[in-house]
Formats: sequence, structure tokens, C-alpha cells
Amino acid sequence: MTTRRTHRWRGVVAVALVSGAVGVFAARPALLLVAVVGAVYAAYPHLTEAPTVDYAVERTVSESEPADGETVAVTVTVTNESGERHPDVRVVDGVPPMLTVESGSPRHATALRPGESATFSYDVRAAAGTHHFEPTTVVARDVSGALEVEGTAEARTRLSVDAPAVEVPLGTLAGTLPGDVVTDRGGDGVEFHRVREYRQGDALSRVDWRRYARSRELSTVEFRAERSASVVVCVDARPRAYRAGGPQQPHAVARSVSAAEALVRSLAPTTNSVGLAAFGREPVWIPPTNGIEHATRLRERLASEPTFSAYRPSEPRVDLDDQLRRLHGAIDPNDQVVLLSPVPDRAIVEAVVTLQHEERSLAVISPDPSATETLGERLAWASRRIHLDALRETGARVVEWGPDQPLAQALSRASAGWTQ
Amino acid sequence: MDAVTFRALPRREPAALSLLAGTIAVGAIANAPNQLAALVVEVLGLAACLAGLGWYRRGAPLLGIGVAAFGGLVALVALVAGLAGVGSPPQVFESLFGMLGLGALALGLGPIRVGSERALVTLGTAGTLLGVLLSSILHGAGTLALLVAAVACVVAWDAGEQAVGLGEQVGTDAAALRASVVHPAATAGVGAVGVVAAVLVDGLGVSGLSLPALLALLAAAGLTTFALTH
Repeated sequence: MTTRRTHRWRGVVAVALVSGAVGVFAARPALLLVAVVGAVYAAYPHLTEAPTVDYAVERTVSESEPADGETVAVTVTVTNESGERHPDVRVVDGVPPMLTVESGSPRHATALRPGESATFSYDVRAAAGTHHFEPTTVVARDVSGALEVEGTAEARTRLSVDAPAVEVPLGTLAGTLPGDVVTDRGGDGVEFHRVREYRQGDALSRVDWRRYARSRELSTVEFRAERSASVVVCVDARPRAYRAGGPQQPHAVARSVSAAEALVRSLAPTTNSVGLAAFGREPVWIPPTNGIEHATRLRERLASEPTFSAYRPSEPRVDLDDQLRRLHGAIDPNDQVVLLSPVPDRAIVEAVVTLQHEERSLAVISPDPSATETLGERLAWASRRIHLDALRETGARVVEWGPDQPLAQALSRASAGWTQ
Repeated sequence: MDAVTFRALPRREPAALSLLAGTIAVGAIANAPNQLAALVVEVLGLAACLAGLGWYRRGAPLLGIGVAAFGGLVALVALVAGLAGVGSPPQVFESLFGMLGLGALALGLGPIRVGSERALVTLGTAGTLLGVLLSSILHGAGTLALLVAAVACVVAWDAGEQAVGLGEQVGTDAAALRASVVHPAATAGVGAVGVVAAVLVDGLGVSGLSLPALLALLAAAGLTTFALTH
């Protein structure tokens, strides 16, 4: 709970003093009486106590597993459990950052007696992915309005929208376990790789018998080895990444977190391992493992870890070098990295260069936070273009993710470009 | 995209209360019938202007602009005619400040974004308060009318501030009726206590005292309050 003084009654002291002074100089006793009224108002804010924000929130959604684009009605009931009268309560529900409010308002203001509840509802449009409601913000003011106390109340509500699996931008360099990533190495698989001279011990089914019939030379057909990849999904959640193209659009961190969730969900049923990392208020590192349970754990961390919060951190500086060094120390050389970042500065490009040494396969998915209305925004847009070009030059595969574009579309378009 | 956009405009309910209180403040000290008539016409004009701007915003632009322009014109005519009609200079001044103040208040609380709502609310209510003080200095308005007008000025400012603050924090699409009404009502209640206190002080016969003695008394009361609350 944070308490603020609004200082709204400060001016009334001036009124009392002015009317008193004018009364004295103009010899009007009635104006001195106005000063009495002024004095009463000046005393008023000191006679009230700061309210205690103790609220219970109940939230129901008309459909917890809606289809993509469906309208979901959200009904919120807040109950004053503080045992005090609150003459002025303002409530803002924590709408998940990736959802847009279609009608109604997630905000409400009312006056509540002890134990009394207020209910309000609004509609959101479901978007692909799993969405967790943020805590509801409650701001209560004392009756004079001089003290404002802000607190939160939490009701865990989840909205899961089934989304098709996305194509994870995996590189051809893969690990040693069998899987479904086609590599540049020969071995078992379905895709033809090369024909080589027969070596003792090669399976008879792999011998090219037609060639033997033609030239009496034993040769062995090799296929591209299919291996499972080990992928670290890394989210750039530094304060600089909290940028949005407009007031109604989710910021880049929210989009990155939702994309990370989609990547983890898409990798879960495969044999590939997936881990999680983040740069932000606290570095996050969860080493890659495979399996549905591990993926579920990752998704929970994505929803609960403060680093992935929808709110921009108050501490503006993040020591990227230090966080990068820690990640670099922990990550396996065979791990691929999928970095999610709006690429707001040069530092993240250098981080990519650092991670890339040892020929690690690295892809960057970049949600576009650009607005081009003001001069500053155009400047940010231009510098982002430069950083993206610098990223491409490092050899990283860059996926540009437009503001209103579904992630799956951005990924499939980009991969079509790479295979050409 | 048909998503709801958040509009930080002043809330209608406390804005209406604010304008009502402002009107009461100016009306309470008006002592000539044509002053009152001019005030009533001005307020009706301002109300029409705000309603027109509201329609303009909600998708009836032509009708809205027409009504708003007509209302604004009526308010302006009332202001000029009222000032020309009242005659004596003291009344011209108190009317001028009161009526201009109401205009600024209406501009600040209207359903269009002008950018400095708070400043306009303060300026407007300061205007009405100046009119109230002037009326006491220039022709000695009645004590009770003066006190009621002063309280009404404070309520007008407080409700206006509430309208702007609620508009900023919860917007115009959310329900906020109770919060809009309870707070200004409490302010008016405190004002009533203040008026009673002032009338009691007046009833003590203190106006018979010499001015320095009365001043010393009030200063003592003020200091006591200050000491109690700090």
C-alpha cells in the first residue's frame, strides 16, 4: 500500500488568508467570517484518517477457453473488507496486456460501506495464447480527498486461447539426441544427404543396390541426420524494451512474453529441449530440458516471474553486461538461442554477437514497437532499422514481427525467406 | 480496430455539480433582478454549449456544433447585455468576475479536451470567489448570502477537481456515480458546518468588537486549529 497526499486543500488556506486580509483592510467583518469558513476547510483534511485498502476481488469470465477473436465478458466484484467507510474508491482491473477491451470499461469508481461490494463488467477480445489477469489496483481516498492510498487485490484468472503451434526458428546445428531437426550431418533420417563409399558395418538396407548392379561398387546412401535441438528462449525485458506503438497497443515486452509462451508451447510436444532466459530487473535462467511438465513449469514462470511483468520496472538501469556474462557462463555451447527483443539499442546487438561466438545458431524475433507520429518516434524507428541491419550482418536470423501480425504468420514468412 | 479508447475527459456528474455550485455562488450575491436574469441566461447558454459539444463527440457532429455555437453565443450575449444592463460600476465588476469565472469553469469541465482542465477550474472558481469578495467590499452583501456564496465557490472548485481527477483515473466510460456525488456532498456538509460556526461567531456579537480585537480572536482560533492538527 502506498499513501499519497494530494494537497488538494492547500489553496483553501490562501482563500481564508486573502478574505481575512481583505476583510481587515476593507473593514468588512463579514469577510472575516468567510475566513472562519476557510479555516474550517483548512482543518477538514487533517481530521480524516488514511483509509486502509483491504479489498477482495472476484473475477468471472464468460468463457475461460474461448476461440481466437471471440468476445469474452469479464465481471469483476470488489468487496470492501477493511471495515471502514470508503467514500471514494477507484478500481482498475488488471487486464492482460495482450487483450484489448472491446466495450465497457475495466475501471470503476464508487463509494463503499464496510462489507459492501461493487460489480462492473467489460468485454475483451480473446487473442491467441494464455493470458493471466494482473492484480486489480484499488485506490481509496479519505472523505476530504487529501489522502490517497493505493493497493492491489488479486484474483487469479486465466484465459487460454487455443493457438496453432508456431514454427520455431531452429537452426540446422543441433544436438546429439535423435529428433526432428534436419541437420547438415549424414546419418539416419528421411531426407537424402549423399552417397559415399561403403564401409564395413554399414547396414545392408542402406547399400545402394542399383549402383552395385550397374558398376559392382558398393556404396552407402546417407540421409540427413535428424537430431533434437536444445533451444533457449530469451526475453529482453529491460526497461528500454517496454515500448509500444500506441497507447492502445501492447508493449514489446508483453508481446515478447506471449511469443515466448507460444514457442514453449510449440516445442513442448516435440523431442526438442527448451529453456528460458531473460534480461530485465532480475536475470532469469532455466536450463533447457524436454517434456510437457517442464514446459508447463516454464509457462508458469512466464506468467509469474516479476521480470516478465506487464509494468515497466521503476529502476531504469539494468546491467546488461553482467546479466549477459551470467547467461554466457550457464548456457551450453550446443544450445540454440531465440531472442525476443524489440532491438531498442546497440547493446542488445552486441549481446547477440557475444552469444553467437562458437557458431551458435541464433534467431531474433523482434516485435515492432514503432510509432512514427512524433519526431522522437521517427528517430527511434530509424535507429531500430539500423540495429536490425547490424543484427542481420552478424548472421543472426531476424524475424520482424509487425504490430498487428499474428506470430505464426511472421515466423512462417521469415522461414520461407531463409529457405529460398 | 474497434477497441475502446480511454478518454481522460472530466466526468459529467461532478462537472454538473460544480457548475451548479458556481451558479449558486454567483446567484447568492446578485442583488439586482437583471443581474440574476443575465446569470440564468448565461448558465442556460453554457449548458446548451456543453450539451452540444457532448453530441458532437458522440457522433452527431453537425447538430452538436450548431447547438454548441448557439449556446456559446447566448452565453456571450448574456454576459455583455448583463454587464451593460446592471449600470452601477460595483455590480459590473462583481458580475464580470462571476460570469467570466463560470465561463472558464464550463470550458474546463466541458467534454472537449483543452489540455489545462485543472487550471481552468481553478481560474473559474477563483473568478467567482473574487466576485463574491468584491460584492462584500463594494456594497456589503448580506452575511449569510456571503457565507453561502463562499462555500459554494469551494464546492464548485472541489467538484470540478473531482470531475477532472475521476476523468483522469477512471475515464468517462466507467460507472462512477457514487464517487462523483459523495465527495462533493461531504464538502458541502463541511461548508455547512463552517457557515454555522461563522454565524455562531457572528452571534457572539463580535462584530461590535473593535476590528483588531476580532482579528486577534480569530488569529487565536486559527492558531489553535493549526496546533491541534500538526
